[in-house]
Amino acid sequence: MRDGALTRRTIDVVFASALAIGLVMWIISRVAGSGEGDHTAINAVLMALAFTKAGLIITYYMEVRWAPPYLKAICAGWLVVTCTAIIVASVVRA
Amino acid sequence: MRTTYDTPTTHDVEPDRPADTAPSRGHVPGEPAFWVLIVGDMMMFGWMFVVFAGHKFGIGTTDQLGTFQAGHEALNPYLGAVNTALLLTSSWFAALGVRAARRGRLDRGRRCFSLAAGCGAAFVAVKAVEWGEKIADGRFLNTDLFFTFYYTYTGIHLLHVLIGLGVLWYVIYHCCAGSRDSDIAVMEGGACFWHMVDVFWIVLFTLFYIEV
Repeated sequence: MRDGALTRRTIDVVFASALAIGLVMWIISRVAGSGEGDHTAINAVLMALAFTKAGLIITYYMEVRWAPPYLKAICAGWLVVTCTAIIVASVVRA
Repeated sequence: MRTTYDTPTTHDVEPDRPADTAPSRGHVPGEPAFWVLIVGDMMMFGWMFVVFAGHKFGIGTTDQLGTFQAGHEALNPYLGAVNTALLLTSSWFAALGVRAARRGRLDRGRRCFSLAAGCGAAFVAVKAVEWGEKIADGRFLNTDLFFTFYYTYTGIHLLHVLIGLGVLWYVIYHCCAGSRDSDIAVMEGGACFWHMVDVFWIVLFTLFYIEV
């Protein structure tokens, strides 16, 4: 891929990937989350998938992949810190 | 230093021009002011997400666990899924619009941004139906803590959607009329703001609708 070039293929692949991740998340929440019991692991997986999807959009659609290092660091940091904080909250229950 | 673009004629007969019209590595898409807004919103929404997760999972107190579970079950995940698909599709159109505009295909760019705005308007309509359902069920902003979070968070997100629609309208009716470098930057920035709105909804949908 040429530097900084948001190609048609990239746009379509990200769209398809995000749709696929969304479908997987839906299936997991409907099937694996329907029973009783501890759903901590399921919630952690769902949140990781959600932030993966968000990361695809930030990296490619928002073109952060080709942005200066400081902007990449801010966006990557936001994704990692926010996702981790939410997962930790689900694990460290009262 | 502003990144400049070639401004070819609008009748683009080749599907993929050489990337001499593409920005170089190290390029900040859009005007820097857009990114001040985007990063600020990221910080705000990130904090909102963490605060909600803390209450949802009972950090500090378990008094509201039942309330949050009941609230989660009262939501309509199918409408949430429809809205997720709508915003993702609108992001797809917005990315296609930026690509088309960079290649001088302003008519195509205008069409793509219009479709993106159409999906955004559909999102607003679905959200209105969803809120109507909840209100008809007697669930208001002050019903319980879950619905205070729900209406507040989705309301703030909806405000961003409406602002984003305004930005897309500006892109469609003003920027797509010409091909100046500054207009390309506004298009890029507007598209980035719209993608950010999509990103926030992805997390909101997961937190409120489908996490168990």
